[in-house]
Amino acid sequence: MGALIKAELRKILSTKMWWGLMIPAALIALGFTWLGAAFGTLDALKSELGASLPTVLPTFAFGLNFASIFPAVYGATALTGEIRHRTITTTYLTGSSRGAVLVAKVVAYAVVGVAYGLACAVFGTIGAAAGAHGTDFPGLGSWLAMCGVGVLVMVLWTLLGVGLGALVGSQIGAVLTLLLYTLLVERVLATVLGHQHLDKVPPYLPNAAGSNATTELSLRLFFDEMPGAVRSHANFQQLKDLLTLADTPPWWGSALVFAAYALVLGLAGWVVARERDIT
Amino acid sequence: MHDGSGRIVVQGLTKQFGQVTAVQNLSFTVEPGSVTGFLGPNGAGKTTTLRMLLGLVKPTSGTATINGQPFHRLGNPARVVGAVLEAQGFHPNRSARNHLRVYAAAMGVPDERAEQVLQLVGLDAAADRKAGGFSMGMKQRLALATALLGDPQVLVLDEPANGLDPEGIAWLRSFLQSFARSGRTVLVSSHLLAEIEQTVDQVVIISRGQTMYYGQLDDLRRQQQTRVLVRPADPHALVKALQEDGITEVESTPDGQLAVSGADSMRIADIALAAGVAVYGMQEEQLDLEQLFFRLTSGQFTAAQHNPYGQPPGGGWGPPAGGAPQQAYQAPTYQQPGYPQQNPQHPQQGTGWGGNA
Repeated sequence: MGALIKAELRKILSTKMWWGLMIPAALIALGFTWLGAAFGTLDALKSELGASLPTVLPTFAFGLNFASIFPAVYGATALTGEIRHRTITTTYLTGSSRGAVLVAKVVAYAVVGVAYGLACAVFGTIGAAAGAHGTDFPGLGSWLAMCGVGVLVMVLWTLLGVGLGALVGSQIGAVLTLLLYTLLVERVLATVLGHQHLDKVPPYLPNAAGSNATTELSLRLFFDEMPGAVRSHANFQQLKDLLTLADTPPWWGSALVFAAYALVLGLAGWVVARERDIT
Repeated sequence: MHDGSGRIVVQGLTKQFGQVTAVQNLSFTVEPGSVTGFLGPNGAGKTTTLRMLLGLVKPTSGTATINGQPFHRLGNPARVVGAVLEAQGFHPNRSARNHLRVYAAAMGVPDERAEQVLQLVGLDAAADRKAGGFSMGMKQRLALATALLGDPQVLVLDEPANGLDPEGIAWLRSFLQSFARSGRTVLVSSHLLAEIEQTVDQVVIISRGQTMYYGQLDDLRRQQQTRVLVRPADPHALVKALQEDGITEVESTPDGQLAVSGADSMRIADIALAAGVAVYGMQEEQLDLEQLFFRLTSGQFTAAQHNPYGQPPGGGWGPPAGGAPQQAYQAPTYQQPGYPQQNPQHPQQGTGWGGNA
């Protein structure tokens, strides 16, 4: 197993795509925290509230959510890229079983997911510091919690991509499915469900669950770090309503729901990839 | 675990892709210590068979084993069997060295092994170039290097000569022979008999997914025969005269000639003269191995057609083996103009007579 994981890591590191997709992810994290930090520390806002607002926390979450499409796409190429370049033949011929190859891919791509998470954490931190001109940084505990959940969702998105790719088989098909679903299909679905008075359902859809894991935590931390004058339970609910997060489970609940989606896709992908003829 | 015999056993292998039967009830055994040729026209099911043997395609029915085990039970399979299935299995932006190091890691052999196989196939100078920029011949070499990484006991190659220059083909031939001589197993497919004729000891010939011939190449060589094409004024009279002389293997060809086996042109001319039958032309035709191969596999394209040659007799009364086929091989087949691939009935060697006999 260790041998196959080493082989997968060598595959990843011997081409450029892993860092090619990491650059936009890291820059998105940086841009969002920069803007959030700059807004929260505006002089006008500060004089109004008597203190700065930790808006950088929710914008970090938004940034992570946008950036997560990149590790997801990279994960989707894990198996489909091999099918596309026909290296899958040699990969299956050099592995003890297809199952072992897929497990090795999951482990190796989880490592890649951690790397994406860390890159976003580092660049997000740089953006937060730069946007606030080095002042008014949120509490270290809150910030590390956001970085931690960022790494977690990046890993989950990567593995969801791996599972989807194994299931679909075609690289273009897997990437298009991923992009279309997250950017379009789920939004339409959520709207339709809303009109059917099924408002409780959309937070449990995959993209919402993945996004809410970071967003819900960021709102809690944001609320904790707010200046005392504006901190109240009513304000927190108002904020959640404003972001249409009223029916959202706590961040760890969303993370579990999202992990379940990744697991189901992974298992489905394993079943299909095990039987797939490589002609 | 596997028995270490180096034996490949294919039994009743069948694969259907939807309505298409790619391979039908195929059985053969490949023994270690020899090179076995796996021959058939393009589309005969060779690649599908090899991929079923290697666990890449799931058979509809039947079994294929290496060392007594199906592929997925070989443990670390690349240490048992190496395969060159296509010269395209490379990431275009990965260097040859990195490609080999990936799979060296997968099969748990040291990285120095990658350098060794690069040198073995003569790619050490191009090791850091991206595989996407390789020529077809270089890709074939890299595919072979990958197959040899695990120092396997069994080597399976699907059309390995594609894209190789004559020098590369000659090198591959001697390499495969020495590989087999060391007691290991080689199964090599091709759609051209001449391409591997000098390399292989035994052949499995398939057509339309079915075995047409399976055995020693020398046995197939002994089936070579000559026949004479005669254009008589009165075929019936000539057939009768020939039969009276004990020559019964006579068939009419689609263009109205008679194909006579078991007699040379001089004897036929004498018989025709004695019977008073005018002969407008006569041509001696020798079947070489390649033509035998076409006869065995022509069903793929002319299944319903009458085969004017009939079945080859089992006896070994033909001319000495190894004459014509070796001539055919010495010049690389793809460079020889007018090689009779498309029309197996076309006489390759012959002497023509004009006028009356």
